[in-house]
Amino acid sequence: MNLFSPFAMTVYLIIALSLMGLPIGLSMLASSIMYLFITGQDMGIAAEQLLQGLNNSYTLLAIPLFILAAEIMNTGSLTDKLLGFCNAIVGRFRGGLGHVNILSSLIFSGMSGSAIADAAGVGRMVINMMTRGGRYTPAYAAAVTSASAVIGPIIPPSIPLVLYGLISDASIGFLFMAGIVPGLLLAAVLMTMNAYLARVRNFPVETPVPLREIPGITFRALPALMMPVVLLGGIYSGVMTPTEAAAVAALYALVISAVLYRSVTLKGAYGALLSSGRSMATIGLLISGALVFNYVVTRENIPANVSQLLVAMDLTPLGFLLMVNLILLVLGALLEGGTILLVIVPILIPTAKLLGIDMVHFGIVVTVNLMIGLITPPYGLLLFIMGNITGESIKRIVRETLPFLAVMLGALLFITYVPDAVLWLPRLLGYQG
Amino acid sequence: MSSSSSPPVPRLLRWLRLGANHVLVLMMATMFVSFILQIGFRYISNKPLAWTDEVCVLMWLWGILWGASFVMSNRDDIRFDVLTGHVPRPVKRVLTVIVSAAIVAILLVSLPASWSYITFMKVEDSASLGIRMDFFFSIYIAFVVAMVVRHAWLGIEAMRGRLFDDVPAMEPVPEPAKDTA
Repeated sequence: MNLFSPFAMTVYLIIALSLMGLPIGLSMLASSIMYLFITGQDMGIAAEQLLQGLNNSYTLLAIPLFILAAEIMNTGSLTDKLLGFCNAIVGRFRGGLGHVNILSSLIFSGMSGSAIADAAGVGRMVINMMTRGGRYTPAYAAAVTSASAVIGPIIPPSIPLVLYGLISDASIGFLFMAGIVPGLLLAAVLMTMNAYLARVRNFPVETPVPLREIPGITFRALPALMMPVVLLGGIYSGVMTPTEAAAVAALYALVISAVLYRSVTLKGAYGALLSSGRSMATIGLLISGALVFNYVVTRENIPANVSQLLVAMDLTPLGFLLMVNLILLVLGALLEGGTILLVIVPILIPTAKLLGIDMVHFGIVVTVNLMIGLITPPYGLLLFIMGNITGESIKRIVRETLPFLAVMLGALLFITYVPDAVLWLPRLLGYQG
Repeated sequence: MSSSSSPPVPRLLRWLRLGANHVLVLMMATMFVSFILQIGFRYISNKPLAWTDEVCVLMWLWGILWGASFVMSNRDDIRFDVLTGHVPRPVKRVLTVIVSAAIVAILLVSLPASWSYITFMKVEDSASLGIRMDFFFSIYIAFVVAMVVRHAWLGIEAMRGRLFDDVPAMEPVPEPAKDTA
């Protein structure tokens, strides 16, 4: 490979511009224009790739709509009802609020598609509950919250899985289905770790909610709890595409918050629309840059070259997956997940296909990997958000996160090497893979 | 925050910004409503609408580029601040000037080619609404111009000794609304 080829120059420029503080999407756009310039191509190709790419990515419309659904839920008192429900169920055990944190993330992840939205919305509220009266240290509360927020995009609906569906042509419906078992597995290992730490460190026990109150609390939370059922039911019965399901999710959230819980004001609705619009623009800019850069990558035949190189290394499928695990964990701790998904993963996909790795399984492995990257020191994004919410030092949060990180890595290995565990549920629904 | 004593130019900017926000909210609402109409018409009245798909895609494309141009603050962007977060301030100022100059130059150089691509697209109309594609795509030009202006401004400010993240972050993560509970 020529270190001074136009393609290499493009990559250097992207890295240099991003390191110097330019937004990553814009870095990719500008560097790709530079590539067109030095190779003597029409620079209008950049505009063409960006505009036609966005114009033809109908599936991606699910992203702003899932964000909107999450925003509406974070505005309404839906969150309170859910937390009340979780507390009634698992609050009674030692380290109960830690369990409440994990369970609420699990339920919430069935509604929003983004780890950041979960951490900032329901996560912030659980942190307040946990640290009130000094029962848990802010660092521990932050650690449990960020670790459990990771589950969000693995349990459907999921923004990363929509992006992966776009780049791999795997069915988004089956990808969503395949995320359920790994998501539950992650929740289980986190709860086990929390229970263990609760015993060792003698965490407090909450006053248990009397059993006879549970039916009432469940009933009040029921409309919120039904959301994942409505969503997945709609997709798998074939009534809705995943993109339409995203719109229905937002509508459902709006209706139950406004009519049932009477907690949405006009101002709140405006705020939810504006902030989802902003998130759409942020992620859209990244996608735009990636669309143009992917033109460069394809033109230079990079995926085929990489796959030749990797195949020449005589990797077994498992060896390849292990390598992917390592690469993505390192990159995930440094780069934002969307960038990796849109730029690095497309380069790996042809090799995965060649080695006979199932595309749905690969998507789940990649997503779990990237989400764990969000809490991997030193630059996991969730750690910083938690630092921001709790005012706790990143160092202390990282120390408390490590045990959770360890068990999640264990779960990742399991998910990677036991494809059947991931593919079992989609196969039950007719996936041929 | 707006008081009658504020100078006219910042006040105008604030109004423009507020207007830009309203437009983005309107786009999001249009997208959302079109989707719901589309599903409703297909499954309830069994008469699929053809135009809703196109409206949604138009709102997606325009929403992204409009939002990126006029609504997002510099802080909203996804950037890699591993290096810039740790270098001394003068170095950071120099880096900002270099990056701004680079992006302004590259975008300006590509502007004529982008313009000619987009005006060339006037030969095509969108499938169901018959919108001319040069209009459909014209937001890209606005986006490029907005990026040039923004980065030229950031570069000039950095030369004068001001950096966009001097003021501590106001809204790092969305605050759950308090006035709704």
